[in-house]
Amino acid sequence: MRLHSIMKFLQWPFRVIAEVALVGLVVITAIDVLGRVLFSSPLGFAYELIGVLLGVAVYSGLIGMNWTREHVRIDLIAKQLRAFPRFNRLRAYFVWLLELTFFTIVAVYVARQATQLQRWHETFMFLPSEKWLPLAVFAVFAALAAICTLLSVFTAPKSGDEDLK
Amino acid sequence: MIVTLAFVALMVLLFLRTPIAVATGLVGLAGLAYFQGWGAAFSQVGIIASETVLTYEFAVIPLFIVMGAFIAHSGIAEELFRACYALVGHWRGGLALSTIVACGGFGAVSGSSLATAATMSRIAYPQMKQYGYKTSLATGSIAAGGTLGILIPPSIALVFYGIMTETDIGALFMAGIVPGILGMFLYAAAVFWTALRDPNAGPAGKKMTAAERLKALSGVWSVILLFGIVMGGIYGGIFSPTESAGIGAFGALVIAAMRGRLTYDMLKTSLADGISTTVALMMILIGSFLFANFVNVARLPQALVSSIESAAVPPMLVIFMIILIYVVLGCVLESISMMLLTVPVFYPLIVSLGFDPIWFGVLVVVVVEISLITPPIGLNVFILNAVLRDVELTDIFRGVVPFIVADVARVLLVVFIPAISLTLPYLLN
Repeated sequence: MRLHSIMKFLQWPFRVIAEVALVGLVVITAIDVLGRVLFSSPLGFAYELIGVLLGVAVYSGLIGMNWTREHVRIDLIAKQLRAFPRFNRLRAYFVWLLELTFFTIVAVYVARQATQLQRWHETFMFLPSEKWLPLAVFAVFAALAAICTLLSVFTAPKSGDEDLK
Repeated sequence: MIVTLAFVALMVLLFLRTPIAVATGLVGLAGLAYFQGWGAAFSQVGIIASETVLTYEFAVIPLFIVMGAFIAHSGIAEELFRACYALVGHWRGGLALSTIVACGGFGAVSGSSLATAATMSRIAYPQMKQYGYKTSLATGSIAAGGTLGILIPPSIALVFYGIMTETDIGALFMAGIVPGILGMFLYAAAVFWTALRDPNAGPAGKKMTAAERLKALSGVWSVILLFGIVMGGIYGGIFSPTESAGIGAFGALVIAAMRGRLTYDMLKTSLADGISTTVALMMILIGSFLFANFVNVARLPQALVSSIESAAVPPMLVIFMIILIYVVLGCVLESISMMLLTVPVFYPLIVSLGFDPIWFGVLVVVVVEISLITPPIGLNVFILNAVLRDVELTDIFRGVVPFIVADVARVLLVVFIPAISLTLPYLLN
């Protein structure tokens, strides 16, 4: 229970980051378009900033989603699976392992992509930043998301059929 | 052989309740590793997982999703229903008809079939029950009406098709308008037919005075304005689809504020809904890109094209085979995932046979729409069942039968009269 509360508290800032990034997407796009249409002065960096905000929204949002394990699944034979509790439990562990593997691979290879870009010192055209920086942030979020999948086995709040506790 | 094995593995994983993103991603990764080695396959994960979320054009997905979430929480659906009810509610089956039209209007601005079905079930179902509507017609019209949102622009399904095939999203949106309206007319015909067969299924509602009608209609200006800005902006060449989605989301927020619905709770709920849908869909997109890369590396589309050419199968037969595959897959797969998995395989075939990619995109979405109300998956039916706890699933499935017939008629019309979908985009381009 304590671990559950700690997890809930720890993932709260990332949910806020994701939501702020989403609002940022809306506001930046609107300002850019209105600036261009009404005043002929678009935001030069909007194109790149929107890409970065999208990444921030997705990977910081992934942290909470992996913890609650709310990804889209096919429920076609869920009822039949429930009829075999031991098999269903094994299945749930197997699926959890697959999720952990996939999200770990994503985190590791986004991080590798960031380190490669850091070596080339590639920069954005308008944003005053090297391209590896946002990727490094995404990699950190993705790693936390993978850790959340790992911890969900002990602490997930409502996993239904995927509950491993 | 390896591709068949991959598809079987994918299906097994999906049935075992592996998240769609994980199943497609891992099968795609393993397939790529088989052809190119693990090093190259892993690097593709890094590239796809980074580039997909950094691509400006893909921001169209969360922007339309958050626009839909703002709209869903701003009370617009009630006013749309009230306006439609004021016009046709006094006809026999009129309330079901109002539901269909309101679903079409709400789907147009929310872009989500599930949100439309969930929202309208809370608004329209109590009214229909109050007037003595049979449960099957009441729930069937909501479940079917909800599917209109997947095609009427801005449509997330068309956005995904556009992204996967690099087809102009604006042209796809335009192409979806007439088939979407046609769907509303055919659904209306299904309502009339049901009410004609069984007059007790949909008794007439109360007739409104002219003043009451005018008052009810005045509430829908915001929907028309928002739809006009989003679509007009794209076709006036003022916005790109991503920009129009951003303006649409911003506009939805302004409308909610003007209607006094913009509260902290509304914003929080809308953003939370927006984030969870966005993350789920973007992860599915990443997984699907990996799977699509594997399918391309395995040269499956090319093999399919050459085998169809060597067998000299008539092109129209190929189209019907593809439709059949979608109908079967629709019984077991969720709509967007079904599109993401199959479009990379079928698209090169369609292009090689000389069919228009825009027409095919609309056709795919129309066929996918049917899967939202057909058993055993029928997501809209399950949404209704979850919201309306006292309604039996069998009642809803019985109620959607006339609407499935209407959908089949629409598929045939779209197949045999491509002008239904192609006139508008080509006229405006």
